Amino acid sequence: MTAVCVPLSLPGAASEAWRSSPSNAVSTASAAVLEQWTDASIQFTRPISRLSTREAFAGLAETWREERGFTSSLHELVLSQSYQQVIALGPDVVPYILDELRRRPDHWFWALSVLTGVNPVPDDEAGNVRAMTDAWLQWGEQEGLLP
Amino acid sequence: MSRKAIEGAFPRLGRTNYSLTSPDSVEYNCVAWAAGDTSRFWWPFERPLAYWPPGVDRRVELEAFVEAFKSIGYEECADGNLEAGCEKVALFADANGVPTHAARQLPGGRWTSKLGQAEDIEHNIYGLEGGAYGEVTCYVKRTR
Repeated sequence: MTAVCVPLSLPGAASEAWRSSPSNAVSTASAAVLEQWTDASIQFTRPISRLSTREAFAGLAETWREERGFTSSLHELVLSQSYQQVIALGPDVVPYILDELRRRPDHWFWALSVLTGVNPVPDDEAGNVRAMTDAWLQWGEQEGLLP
Repeated sequence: MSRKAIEGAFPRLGRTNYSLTSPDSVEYNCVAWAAGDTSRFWWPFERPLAYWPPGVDRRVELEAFVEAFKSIGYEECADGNLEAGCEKVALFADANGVPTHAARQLPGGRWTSKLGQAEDIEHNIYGLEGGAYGEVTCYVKRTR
């Protein structure tokens, strides 16, 4: 059996390129190990990803509520660091935002709109937090994103 | 929010008489409260994420806020002195002139404010100035 020396520091795309090269062909089992190792490596090198998306969102949501102070500015609310970090978690966070919205309505609508590319809120309900919440929860149910 | 947190953001409140008059709520904000609307969040943000009166520029500038109140019957006025039969609104701005807050005058001359997503308070104007909302930069009024 030929030993295959896999470069351990390659990120996902580079690793894929390395594996797809004919001269670096590996067995199916080795490829599976390599894929798992690559995932673990990425997880390790990105500190925020050491938390699950659910845990990361819960912490950021709490920070957002604590740090928003007394502002009435929707611009300030959505441009705050913690709110932007929620968006940076990517589409995987959408079910957790919807679940949070169901339990504790708040101004998550912009994040949802950015992350999903849709906006289910009718124009005549603009600014109505209850109606906007209902519209997003209905959308979430239709999309199968609510537990 | 605790009174300590409120007085931390608005130091003069602690030296004046003010009271909490509602529970906290994310459903409306200070501009909505000043306009007499507790069902919607008013801000010149993109539709439909916030309500803003139709036809008024969605800019976070004093002129747009004055226009928003003009659209519901207000006109600019010189001061916040109590005038019989009039309801006044004070518009606050920060040091850069960016609107931050709106407060509504009560029939007795005191003022009522919604503090962001937190509680409503009854206060005097001096108590809310010099803190997180800056200073009053404009008053508008309409007939009660």
